[in-house]
Amino acid sequence: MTENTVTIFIDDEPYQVSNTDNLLAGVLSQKLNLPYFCWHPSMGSVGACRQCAVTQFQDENDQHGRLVMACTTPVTDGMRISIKNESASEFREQIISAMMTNHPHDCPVCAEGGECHLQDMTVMTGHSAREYQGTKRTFSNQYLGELVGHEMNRCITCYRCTRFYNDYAGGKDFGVYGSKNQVYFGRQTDGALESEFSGNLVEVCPTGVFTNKVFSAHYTRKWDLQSAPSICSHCSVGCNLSIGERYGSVRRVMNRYNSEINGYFLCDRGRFGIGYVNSEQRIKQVKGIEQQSPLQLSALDVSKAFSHFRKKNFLGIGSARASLESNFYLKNIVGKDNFSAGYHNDEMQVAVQHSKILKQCKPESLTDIETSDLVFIVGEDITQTAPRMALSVRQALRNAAIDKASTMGIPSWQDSAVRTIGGTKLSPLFSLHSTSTKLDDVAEQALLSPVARISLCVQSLTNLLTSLKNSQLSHIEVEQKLAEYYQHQNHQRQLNTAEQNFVASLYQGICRAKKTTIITGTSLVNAELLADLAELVQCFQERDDINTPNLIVVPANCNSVGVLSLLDKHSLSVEQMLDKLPEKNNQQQDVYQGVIILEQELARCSHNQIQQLRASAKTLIVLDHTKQRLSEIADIVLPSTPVSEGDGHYINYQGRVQKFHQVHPPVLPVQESWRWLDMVADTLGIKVDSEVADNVDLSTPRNLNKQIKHVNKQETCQSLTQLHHFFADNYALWPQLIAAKAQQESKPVARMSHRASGRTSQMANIMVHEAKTTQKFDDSFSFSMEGASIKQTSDMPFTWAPGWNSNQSIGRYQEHINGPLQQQQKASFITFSTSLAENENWQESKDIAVNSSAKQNENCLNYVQQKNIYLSEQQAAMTPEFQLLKQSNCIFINANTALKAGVKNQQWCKLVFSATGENMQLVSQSVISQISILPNLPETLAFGNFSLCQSLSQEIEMKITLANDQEVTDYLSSYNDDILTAKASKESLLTRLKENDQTIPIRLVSGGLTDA
Amino acid sequence: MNKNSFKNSLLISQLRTMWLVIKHTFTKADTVQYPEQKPYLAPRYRGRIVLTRDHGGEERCVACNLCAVACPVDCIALQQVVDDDGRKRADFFRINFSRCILCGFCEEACPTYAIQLTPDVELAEYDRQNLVYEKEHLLINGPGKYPDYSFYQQSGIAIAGKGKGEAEQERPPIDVKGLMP
Repeated sequence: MTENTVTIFIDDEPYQVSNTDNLLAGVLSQKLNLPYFCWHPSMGSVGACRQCAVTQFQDENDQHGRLVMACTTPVTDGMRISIKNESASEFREQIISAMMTNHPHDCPVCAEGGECHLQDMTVMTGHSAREYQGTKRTFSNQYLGELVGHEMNRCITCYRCTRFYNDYAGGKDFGVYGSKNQVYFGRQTDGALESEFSGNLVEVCPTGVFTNKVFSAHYTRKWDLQSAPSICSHCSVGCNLSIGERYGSVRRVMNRYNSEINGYFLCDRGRFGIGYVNSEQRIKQVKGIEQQSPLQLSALDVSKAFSHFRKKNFLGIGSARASLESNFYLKNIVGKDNFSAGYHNDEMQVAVQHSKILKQCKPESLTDIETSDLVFIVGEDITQTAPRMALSVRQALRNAAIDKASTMGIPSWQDSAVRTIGGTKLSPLFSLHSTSTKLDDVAEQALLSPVARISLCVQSLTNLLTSLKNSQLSHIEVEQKLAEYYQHQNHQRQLNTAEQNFVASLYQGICRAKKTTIITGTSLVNAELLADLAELVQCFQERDDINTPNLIVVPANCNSVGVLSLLDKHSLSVEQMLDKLPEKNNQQQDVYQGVIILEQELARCSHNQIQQLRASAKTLIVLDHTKQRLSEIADIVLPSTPVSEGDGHYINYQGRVQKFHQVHPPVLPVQESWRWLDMVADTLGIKVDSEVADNVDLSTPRNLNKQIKHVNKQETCQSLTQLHHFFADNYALWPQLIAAKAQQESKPVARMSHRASGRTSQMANIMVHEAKTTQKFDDSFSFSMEGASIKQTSDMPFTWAPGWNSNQSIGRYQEHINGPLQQQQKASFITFSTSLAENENWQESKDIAVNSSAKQNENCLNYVQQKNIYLSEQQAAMTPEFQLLKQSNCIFINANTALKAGVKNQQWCKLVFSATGENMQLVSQSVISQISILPNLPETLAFGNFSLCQSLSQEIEMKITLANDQEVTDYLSSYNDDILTAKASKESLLTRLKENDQTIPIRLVSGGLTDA
Repeated sequence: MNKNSFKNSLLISQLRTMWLVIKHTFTKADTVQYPEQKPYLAPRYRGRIVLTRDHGGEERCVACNLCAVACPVDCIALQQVVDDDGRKRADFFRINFSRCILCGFCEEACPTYAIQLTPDVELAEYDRQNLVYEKEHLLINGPGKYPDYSFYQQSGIAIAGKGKGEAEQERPPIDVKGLMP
């Protein structure tokens, strides 16, 4: 029992309840049923719906009591309330019956039906018959884009949508209109919702006003979904998801509560970006392997195809979107000297700095970010690359208002009161980036700066911290110190006024802050910035008067940190690999037979590099789930699984190890990459680092000549657990992932709800004899409605509780409201070695970077591409709905540049970018784009939403001329063609999915190729 | 109860039984010459399942899945689609009659009176596979019971030919930008 716990009496029974939250949260924490609408566990109380009425008594002699709204009542010691009291329960029923007077009669066609909070609460109050005989008010709906549907008739005016969209997520294009019985929630005009968190409206809305449009197009009820706990594969935050499948295709993604990461909310990329798993572009057949039986590919076919590679060397390229197991396996098949993560030289330098930072300090979780009172985001647009983190940053900014309210005695859960008191008061956010971001509107200062000058600002902050020992200086004094410090530097290394002001305010802010969080990322591919930030954090540790900030690095992909943990001093960059590939040995034979490419498209490689790769590799083996340019040119293509069809682990930005589970078995020959690699390893053998093996087993004679021991595998790994045992037996470095989890020998948890329907009919058109449910070796979940209750695991495939069909049922499984899950296991984190930093190639990165930035001519332009939540991540970008959201070209330039070129805002222009390439040849690219003028943009910086080719990354020149009508028309027609193509692919996808619904693939066992 | 009365009651029972046997010897046999002679089945008898149409000839089924979830033997499978006219229909609707126990729960669960049980019990087939009925086998050309009910005329969603606020007991849609309170 903690000190905040008090005893209250609910219906004369004593309960221990926390007094830091409101009464409703207290009641729900005791797993008692009390209906509510407007209250949301993470958004607090406003008391709008009057649904959570309870009777409060003065003392034990009070017989009458009075009605209070539980959500706006604080918990006090010894308070006596009654939920069952007749006046309270009658009141609650009347509230529902009033809501029902206008609720349309459309549950059968409503996508929310079966997981509707309104349905649940109606049943809970006991209201069963509509007595009102009058007419119903109706509303017209709005078009809210391709992702969220709108059916305004169903609204019960709880105000949760606008509280989430506007207040919580900072949306601007949504609101509440009208009065009285005519309150309307929507946009001013029809149009796509602009917020990256619009999908949460679906879960936040207690009824079916906002529905998942993609899910509704190919709909199934919640109770019919076969779900598995999964991890988002679209960014490095690693939000927990529940992916639902029906009739062999993935239908939707819902939030899966994790108190330390995503809580109750997801971003739209995570929620809607799952479309790629159903894509037409999926690879479904092997290429380059001769198949003996026309019916199916056998394991023998694969080993025959690989038999002539026996004793041959391969190079391997892993990937930050493949699971940890697959990457680890690949590294050990090809050997550590031949492994690359698909990173280029500059990315390797970034990786070195990143791994140093991760070694030095552990990044905090999203929940911890929400407690900080100063956030400094530098060199990353997290609203687009890690959107869920941006949402947490927004919550952190509210801390100033919450603190102010608490000094007045208002608890933080009194949402509207806190917001009124706080007004526009926000905790400081400093943003320093090359593109404008969606957090700029809540930033105390947002400075746009070319890439090289960002590091300069960070360095000057470091200098301030080391030279100034006084944290009480005024702003002007700090600026003077800055000017003094830099007056001897050359012109380029001096800070301009805006930068001086920014750094000085940031210094003062940090001195005052109790908890600072610094967030950066790898999207600018700037190793110098990471090194500078590491140095910055280092010098905080020397200052006693300032708290050391937490440094968070946001890498690009879901498993970037996992790959980072596998890199060591022998790891290659893509360039090194390309150089190494044509090597010959003494007998003038090729050293390398070819390259094994694991779920990697080498997006940053130029066309020439890809040609070079193809020409120098005798055999190109590609494992991927979706067609891409490498799979087109490969000799052997092995179809692997996306996140929904396989098991594996992803490591998030913190180093947190999280398992994703198979939602449904794939159609053979598609199988997980690690299963393919397991088969490949059977013929190629695997290489065990004997240095490490010796430490484990001293009886093995030390082989000095060869540091690598070849192990011939005997048995195929049937399951991930077996694979882990195999790894753990052979490699001391393999993280102990299974140790904690192996102990649970309980009955597998059902992937389907106990109400799942259609079991004896869904495949009856193929064969009337029902196939038995798919079996899986060592699985902790069953492909069936039979199995243990979801209560037994913290990895809940879906959430449901008796009387609670919606996702609000999660409250029944939390220790207390907003707390961890009852079965929550301690998160495991991966450890890092500094082995990568030992490689001399990447060590001097800082000097290289400094030189290159010093080289940068003042007049040269720095073009930075804006990141886009929908299209920047390779997998999510394959979702047709996201392709429909593609925007036409737009570039932001400085007012002077525009004036010189004689162009105005919003005009269509032709931009010619040119640069001198590596071989001193002139590279140029012309782009038709709309101009946006930003007055505070430095002249040497421009950013836009289109990409330039790789050789145009540095020292480019830009010529702007007005585009003629023909050029604009041509561009717009090609843009419209893209949109039309996306529309067509969306429709054809839907048609195909519907056809597939009737031919559900039968898998008796979900294992590898050897299974049925 | 004494011994005598027990003996007496035993005898009476046997005599009564013999009397009944003799009586039945002279009564007309109950055997019906099925199939030449059909027994009477009440209109609400629970036999073969059909999908009905409303009085406008449109399918009543909105593919809400309630019949499927109510089915104790899970013998109903369907997939919803939204057609261009705004109506939701079943893309496929399959009943595996070899599993169906004709309990009528599906009919009870149906919110649109689409699925109905009919007094037809002649469902025997030589091949079990033939007992799998698809939508085209289930759909009939009439409303069956509750002939006047049409779901979309009661519900708030818009379909082709019936806009917002045009259903029964509905007011026209509110003009959000209007100034009237």
